[in-house]
Amino acid sequence: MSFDDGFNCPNCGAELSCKLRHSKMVACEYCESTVLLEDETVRKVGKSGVMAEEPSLFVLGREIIHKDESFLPVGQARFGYANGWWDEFWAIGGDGQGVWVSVDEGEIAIERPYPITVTFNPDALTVGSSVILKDERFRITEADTATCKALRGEFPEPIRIGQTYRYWHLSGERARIVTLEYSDGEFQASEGVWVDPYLIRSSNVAA
Amino acid sequence: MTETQNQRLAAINCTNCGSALPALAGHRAKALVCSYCGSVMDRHDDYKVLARYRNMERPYGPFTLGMRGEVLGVPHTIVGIVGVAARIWGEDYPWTNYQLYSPTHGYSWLTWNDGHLTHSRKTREMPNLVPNSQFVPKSTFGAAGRTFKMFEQYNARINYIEGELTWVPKLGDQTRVMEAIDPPYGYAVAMGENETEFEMSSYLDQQATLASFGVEDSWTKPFGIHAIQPFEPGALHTGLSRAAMMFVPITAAISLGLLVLGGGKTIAQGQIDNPAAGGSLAFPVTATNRLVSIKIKTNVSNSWAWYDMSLTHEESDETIAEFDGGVEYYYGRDSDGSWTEGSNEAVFRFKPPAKGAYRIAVEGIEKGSDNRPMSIVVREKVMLVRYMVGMFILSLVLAASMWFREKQFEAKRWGEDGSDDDD
Repeated sequence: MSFDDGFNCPNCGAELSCKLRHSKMVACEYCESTVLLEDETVRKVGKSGVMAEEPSLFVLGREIIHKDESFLPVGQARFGYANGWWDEFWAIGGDGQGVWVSVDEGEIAIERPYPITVTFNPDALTVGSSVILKDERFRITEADTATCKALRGEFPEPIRIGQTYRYWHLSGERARIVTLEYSDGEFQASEGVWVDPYLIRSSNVAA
Repeated sequence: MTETQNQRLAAINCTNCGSALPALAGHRAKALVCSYCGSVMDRHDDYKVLARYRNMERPYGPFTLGMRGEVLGVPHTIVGIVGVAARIWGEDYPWTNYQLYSPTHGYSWLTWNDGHLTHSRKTREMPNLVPNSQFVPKSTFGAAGRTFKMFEQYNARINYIEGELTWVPKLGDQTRVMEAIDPPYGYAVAMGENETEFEMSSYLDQQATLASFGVEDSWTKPFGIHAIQPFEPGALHTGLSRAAMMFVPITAAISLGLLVLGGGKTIAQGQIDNPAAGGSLAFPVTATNRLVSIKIKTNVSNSWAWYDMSLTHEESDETIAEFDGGVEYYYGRDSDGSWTEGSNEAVFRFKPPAKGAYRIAVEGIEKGSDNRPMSIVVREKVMLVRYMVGMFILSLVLAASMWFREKQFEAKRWGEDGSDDDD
């Protein structure tokens, strides 16, 4: 079996809609299973959960444009946190590279993976405190714990329903943002910019 | 409008007084202020009552909670109301901020100020030069791809709160605000006690926005000039001014051409030594499609000379005109200095009805005239430049009127028109 041959869901046998060669995980549209793609094999790893329809500028498979850059959302993960929920879209940019787009009631950030070697004491990362990463100063503007609630589409890494992690938004100058995630004793980071939703061109503006 | 939004519409009972309150905002709204008892509740902590403000007076404005309409092409719902006033030179200037919510675009503000409507939203596009406490009017800085001019600074004080808001407000809270403009856009730096926020704003069409929210068109029309109101002259003035701008060079070129070429050709000149005794001068006319000018000159000095004249086409012996005319010239000196009045010259023009010989004749002079020798110069193929110069001046005035009007508009915007009158 190969990417070009296509994959079938190991749970229900339906063809998996997988657009990207480097996707590592895809949610089956039919039986709500999440399937891990491992080289030439597929393995069911969990359920995709129920994704309630909400108005959004971002819809899977529909291109959006921000400042002449286009993005095609191919995966949608919904996370719950203390006061609500937000969507994390895995989208492919015009340059073919993947980006994470977090969307929380008009608070939108577009981020790319950001390799970091430093480690932190999670309990010392409090809202309002400063963090220096690669000579760039940031202020922590949000800190909370998130839990994955639902998945749709495909992703560059395995995500499972119920997975919980702590996160911090680090805001810098000129709309810069770095998101730190802490789960299973490891930090991961992504970096990017906050985006003005009024500058996004989407067929779903009037959603 | 999606089904999901409709489903989200709900009410919640005030945890203090029990009144039903609309729950219209999303999860990021932190506070709910009761429209009836003024209790401020924490939406993120089981609507726990944090404070209570009695007898607040709802500010003047056309919107109420729950109204829906489009702003910048995006559907929004009014979820909160905040009354604000700025004290400038001892006087309060009030306005009303309406908290807008859109599930796709988040939270922003619709502001009603003297009938003007603006929309503002938080931006993370900070200025390339962070304005400091040294406010310098008209100094510039760049932000969000635009160049803004510092406009004004003031302390804004909250005097009314209602509905769902993105922060927990306190009545009387003050924020130091510095506003900069690039009409129809604005940029504000709001410095609170613990946080500095940056906002982008844009000027809205009042009537279109009111109509979109279903508000009757009976509200105050915008008065005065808003800080970010764009200069928008009427279509008629704009059209006339643009046309005039095209006519200015055309009429200038034609006027110049007429000045050089429109003087015509001298066809006769002579002198009548004793006008009282009469005299005449004949001249041949070769073109009938242009004017003929007859210039008389008499060197009167602090006196006048007035003649009875006739013009005859000799070949048909037809009298073309009988007329009187003359010159007067005075000069002197008074407390204001030297002065002169009148001229030694007078010009008469006519369009010849036929080619051939004509004769201008002096039949006599008015009683009291200065009877000095009179010289006559006759030119044909004369073109008048004054009408084209008039067109040029009219075009120039019309074209310049737009510039003057905009200057006047800007002077009012900046309070530099020397008047306190807002109209």
